[in-house]
Amino acid sequence: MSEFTIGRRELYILPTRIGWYYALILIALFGIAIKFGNQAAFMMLFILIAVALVAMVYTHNNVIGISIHAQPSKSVFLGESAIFPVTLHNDSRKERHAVWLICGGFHRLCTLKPGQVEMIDLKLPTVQRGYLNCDPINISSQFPIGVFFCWTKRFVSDQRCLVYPQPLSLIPFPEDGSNEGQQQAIASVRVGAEDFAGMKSYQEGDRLRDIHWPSLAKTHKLISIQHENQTNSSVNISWFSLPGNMSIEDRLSQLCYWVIEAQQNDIRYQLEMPNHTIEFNRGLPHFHDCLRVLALWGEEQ
Amino acid sequence: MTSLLKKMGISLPPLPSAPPAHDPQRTTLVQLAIIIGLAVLMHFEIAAQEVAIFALLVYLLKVVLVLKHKAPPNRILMTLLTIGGLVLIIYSYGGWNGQIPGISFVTLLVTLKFLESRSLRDYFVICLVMYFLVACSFLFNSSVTGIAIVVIYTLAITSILFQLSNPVPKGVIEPLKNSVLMVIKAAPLAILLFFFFPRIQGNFGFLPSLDKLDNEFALNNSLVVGDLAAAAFNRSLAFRADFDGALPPSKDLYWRAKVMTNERNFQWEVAKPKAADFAKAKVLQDKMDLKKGVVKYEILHSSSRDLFLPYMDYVAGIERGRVLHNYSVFVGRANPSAFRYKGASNLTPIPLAKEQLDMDRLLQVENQPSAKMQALLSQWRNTAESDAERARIVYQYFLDHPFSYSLEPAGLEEENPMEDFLFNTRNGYCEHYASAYTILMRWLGVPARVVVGYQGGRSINNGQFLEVRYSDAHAWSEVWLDGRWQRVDPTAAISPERIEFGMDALRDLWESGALGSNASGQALSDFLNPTGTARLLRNLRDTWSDVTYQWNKWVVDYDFETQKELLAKFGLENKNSAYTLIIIMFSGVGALLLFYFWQLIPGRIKRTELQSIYLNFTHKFKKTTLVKHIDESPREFAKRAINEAPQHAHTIAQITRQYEQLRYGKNHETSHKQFEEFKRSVKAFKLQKVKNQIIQP
Repeated sequence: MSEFTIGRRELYILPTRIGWYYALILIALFGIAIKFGNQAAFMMLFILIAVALVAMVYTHNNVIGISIHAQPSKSVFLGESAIFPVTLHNDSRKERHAVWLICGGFHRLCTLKPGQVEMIDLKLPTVQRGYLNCDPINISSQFPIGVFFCWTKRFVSDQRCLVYPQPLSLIPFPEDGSNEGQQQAIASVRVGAEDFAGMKSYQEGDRLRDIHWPSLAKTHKLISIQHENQTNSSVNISWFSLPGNMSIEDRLSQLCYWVIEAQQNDIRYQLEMPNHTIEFNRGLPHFHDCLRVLALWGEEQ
Repeated sequence: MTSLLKKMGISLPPLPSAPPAHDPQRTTLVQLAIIIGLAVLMHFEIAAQEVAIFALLVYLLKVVLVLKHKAPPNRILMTLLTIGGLVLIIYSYGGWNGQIPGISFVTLLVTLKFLESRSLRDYFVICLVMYFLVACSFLFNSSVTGIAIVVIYTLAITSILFQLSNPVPKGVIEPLKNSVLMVIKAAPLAILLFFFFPRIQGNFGFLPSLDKLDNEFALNNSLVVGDLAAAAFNRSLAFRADFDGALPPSKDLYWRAKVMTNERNFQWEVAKPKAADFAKAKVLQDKMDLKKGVVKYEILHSSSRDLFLPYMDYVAGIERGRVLHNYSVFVGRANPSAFRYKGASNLTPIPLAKEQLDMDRLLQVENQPSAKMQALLSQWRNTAESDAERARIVYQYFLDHPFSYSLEPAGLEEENPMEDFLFNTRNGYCEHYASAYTILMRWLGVPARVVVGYQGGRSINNGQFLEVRYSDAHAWSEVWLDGRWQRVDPTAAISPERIEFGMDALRDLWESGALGSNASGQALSDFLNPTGTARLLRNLRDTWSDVTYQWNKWVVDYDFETQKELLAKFGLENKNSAYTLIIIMFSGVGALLLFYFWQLIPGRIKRTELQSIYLNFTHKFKKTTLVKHIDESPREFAKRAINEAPQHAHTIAQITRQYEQLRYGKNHETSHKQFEEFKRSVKAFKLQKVKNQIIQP
């Protein structure tokens, strides 16, 4: 399910601990009122009972009718938080106060104005590469006076997040003859040698140092500087170039690191895996293709 | 709680992990501190000084800690303070049982808990105990002003609960507004519960028992001259009377409470009724009938420990208590709170068939008359032959001699106070005149007794009801003439204003110094026809008094009897037993609650006609155990339906297409005609059984 509207059958409501204390106070007050035949105390008792019951309805109404919509999530590297964007939509004329959006260990307090749509990024920790499913999402509320606690059935989002391996630099970038054609040293060595080729709007994967900051201040858009000499270089990132005693996860991490390096330096690169090779190319789609292969390594067999 | 449920085999639906706790906002704490501070200060009014001061110190300590951003004291200090507080309560009150120790205990609990509070939950608990404390204050003050304070407190506490349970700061005004709204929404329910929740009588041993109230006035069982005069300025309310018809004239408003027959040195005493007295009055008790009297009324009496109830003279019917042969009405048990009862009276005495008089007691006077007195008595005996004549002649004596009426009568000699009054001071309050007159009658051989009660009262709202205060306490005489008891009020001879216009007028005259002087007439007319501000003030006072009356009638004194009366108004006659009534009330309250919530809870999401027609269509598959899932799209359902009933594949596909077109298509592309068509095809659709036989070609 990617969308979920909280209906009556999806709601649970129970008194909180404070609610049980409240009940105790009511019982004591009932005793006092009967013992002394004090009608004013009876009145107070009934006011408190009525307030609790009305509060129960308030709590219930505060949650019912909210809809959750799960949005597609973006891929992240292992170690970063996976982000599952969801939108909460309050499709009623009432304001929703202090509604908790709970997903695993993630909590977020929202207040939704009538008709408001709120976008919330659920941040979940990543523990392994591959697909990460979103934890069941609950919505809960103790509004207004904290004597009742209302929560929803678990909403299981069908969105999943692809977690790439954690990039780790364990051994230096491959520079030996196994690579295609002429290669150049990458990274820091090359900085001075770049020739200015022009400006283009920022794309993901561009190096931070290539961003032309003055134009950000002027136009509020990210502009990158393009360099001339990057176009010719290329590199073969190969599973087989790694030492034989490396563990699979380390290999994947290392390959991942190199792919990022190559992408940032805008080099043509290919990814060579035991069962699969992604041919020389450049650009973001190529980058994500390579990372996807690394992330799902071992799962497809 | 959860584990307990699990043990019982009840599993809770999956609970989400608890949201992180937040710290209460500072403004909320300040508001809570102010509310508790006011409660601690109000506590001074009822509690023992040292306990109140202790609570105040604990409170101030917390305020200092909060201002200096310091943590609450450690556990050892808290324990010491708690034990100290308990010891102080027991030491100051000599025990822990009772209302005042109870309320002191709750107050200390609030302040100590406040001192100790660190987390959100602590502050929640304080709010709840504050609710309780506020409700307990009703045990001391149930007046209209009392409830105003309580309402304000309830709103303030609810507003703090609002702030505590919402981690987003909302300021001060919005939570208060919300809490007012919520209490208003709760009010109808509370009022329904109040009037229809059965009032069960019960006693719980573990709760503190009722304290004796010290500052309460009651008519004494003995009449010592000067006693009633002392009450002349006590304006607290004795009772209110609500008359069925018009208010009788002031001169007939004699409220009889106690009859005193035993005299000792110008002092009178009530004989405590014995079992024999009740037996003697059995005939009289049986004759009592609320329907008989000329005047019918209902009395709402303030709380009183007096065992004699005031009824209007001459008593014809009573509701509460047992009548004695002297027409005073005795109740076996004191009433801790206000109570109500009905009565009926005649304006003229109805002679009894035959009454056996205890002559010895009715003629007994402790002191012997002095020589001077003897001379006067024999002179009277000689002039007047009959008892009636003698009664008149003695009354005339008070008229002829310069007796004066006074709210602050002079003291009398110890030795022979009666004659000191009669010959020397000649200045006294009603009890002086009633006593003296009765003693004189007894010396003359006429049986006589003193009656103590109330006279007059203040009519409120043009005679809608009558307010009788302790200042209206009065004493008069009764003399046995022509085989019946005749009321003689010698005060009327001295101060006719007292009887004619009531105590209020008299006190007014007294305070302006006009009583008994020449200016009296002018002052009296000023009192009776007030002008401008005086009239306005009196109207205000009347309105307020009416508000208090209604409050007392409908809230403070609302008991099972009144409840039954109210139900009778709704047509539920009291034919059934109390239990049936209670059951009816409980189920009534339950039904009302259900209805209330039905109204509050938002309605089901309304389906359009189109959707319900489509649902009809899906229900037609019930026979095949094919049920449409809520999250299933019409197309997915159609796929399964075709699998289940391939013989209808075409129709199912058609209906689904039509539905999709109507529901999801653009508005202008669909027409009413299409809708009708869809309706028709759904109606025509009938699930037929699949023929098992496969016809071979």
